[in-house]
Amino acid sequence: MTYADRMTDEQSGKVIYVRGDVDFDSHLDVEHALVSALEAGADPLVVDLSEVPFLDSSGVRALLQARSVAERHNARLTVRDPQPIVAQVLRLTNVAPLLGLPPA
Amino acid sequence: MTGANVPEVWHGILATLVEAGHLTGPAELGRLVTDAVAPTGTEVVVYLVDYEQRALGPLPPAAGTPEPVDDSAAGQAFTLGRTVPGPPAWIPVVNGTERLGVLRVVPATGADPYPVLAGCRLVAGMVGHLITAKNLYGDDLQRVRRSRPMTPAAELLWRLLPPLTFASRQMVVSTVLEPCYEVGGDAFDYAVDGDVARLAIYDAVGKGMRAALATAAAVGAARARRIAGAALDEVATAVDRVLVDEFSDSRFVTAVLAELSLADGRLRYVNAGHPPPVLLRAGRAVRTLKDGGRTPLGILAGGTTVAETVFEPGDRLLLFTDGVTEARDPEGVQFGLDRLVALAEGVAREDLPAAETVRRLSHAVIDHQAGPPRDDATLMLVEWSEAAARRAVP
Repeated sequence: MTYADRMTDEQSGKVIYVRGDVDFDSHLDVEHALVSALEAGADPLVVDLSEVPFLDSSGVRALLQARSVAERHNARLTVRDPQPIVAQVLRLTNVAPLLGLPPA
Repeated sequence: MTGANVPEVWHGILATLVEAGHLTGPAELGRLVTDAVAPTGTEVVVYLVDYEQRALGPLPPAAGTPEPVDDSAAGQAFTLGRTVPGPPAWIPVVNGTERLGVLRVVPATGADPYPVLAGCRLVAGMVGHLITAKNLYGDDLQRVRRSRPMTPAAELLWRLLPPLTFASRQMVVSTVLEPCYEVGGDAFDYAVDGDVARLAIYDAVGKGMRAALATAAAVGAARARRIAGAALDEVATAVDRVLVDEFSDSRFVTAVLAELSLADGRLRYVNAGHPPPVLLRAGRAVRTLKDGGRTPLGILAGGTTVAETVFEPGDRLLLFTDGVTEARDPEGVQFGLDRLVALAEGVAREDLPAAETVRRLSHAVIDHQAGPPRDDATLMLVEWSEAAARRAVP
């Protein structure tokens, strides 16, 4: 199971913790959680991926979709602490910089 | 054996196939071939390969069980592109170099088999063209090729794709797309014009019809610009535009778009968020093509830079989608790039026809997964080599 149900207020802003694989089966749950947070006014919204062992292109789409919702709300969405494999996917697709991560 | 060495009677049979072929529909193709060769006392049955390239099934009115591609004489003719003498003999049927099936040939009792097989090789060549032409006008040839129904997305997608294999004198491109009855988001494309081979592999995010529609839009936009003579970066921009304009939900497509100059081996490419292709030289993976990176098509951020590298004669380029490397076994272990590269090196050393190389790689990926695949998995192998081109011809 994948969860994106834990949210905390930290110095960096609202932080949402995703746990589990973010793939075709789970990406909509993650996207809904992020979009709900943004619509509730989270700004900046930080997505903590430290407990995500795997993220595929559906996961990338969920993050980008949330990012475009954030843009509509003039809010900032960033990703933090991806595991190496997830960081590699984000770098390989060249979307890392769009999510506030360093490029390759 | 060339046509000139074939007994005259077989030239008459070719003429019959051409002339009777005008008014033959796909359902009657099997009978047309069987009847055309009957005057020689030879029995010929056309077998077509299924989409998954695992079995060869007879064209009606012939009945009989399909022949397995692995471990049968029929399959040997199909996979190696060679006549297997019998009886029954099996002769590969191709259109150009696209593998379609085999002919099962039983010469008349007491007949010298060699001239018969020479004649039937010519018939096989004509049958390859007829199958390709007649397939457009009915469903019967499609039915023989399917072991189960296709999803709507797969039905749509297959009609967009060029044939799996093409060879010119200097190069071969061959591809496999799985799961063939359920594909959605993956696609490939190529066009070989004079000294330039234009190549593309696509992977739309998601699954099923939503992904297939994004892929279809991408292929359409890229082809239209390519045919209009646009440069690679303009092609990428055209795909960006169609995806942004037509899809509102961050739908993107990863892709490698490339142009190979067949005169000097210069490869220009753009990698839109796709796994980097692997370059194989003398049977060894020497490096991945890591440059030319940009965001996936449909995500507007930054521009498109075209990278360049130069092939050496005999080089092979293996392009693939992440469904290949991310295919998981029951324990969750991914197929992985290392395994793909090791297998590709092993198969490359066997100097098989390119179509057989990718078939074996693709089946290794499927065998790695116990259950139904989670994602589409596409492989494309490009060989810049006259020898490879010759291996693609039966």
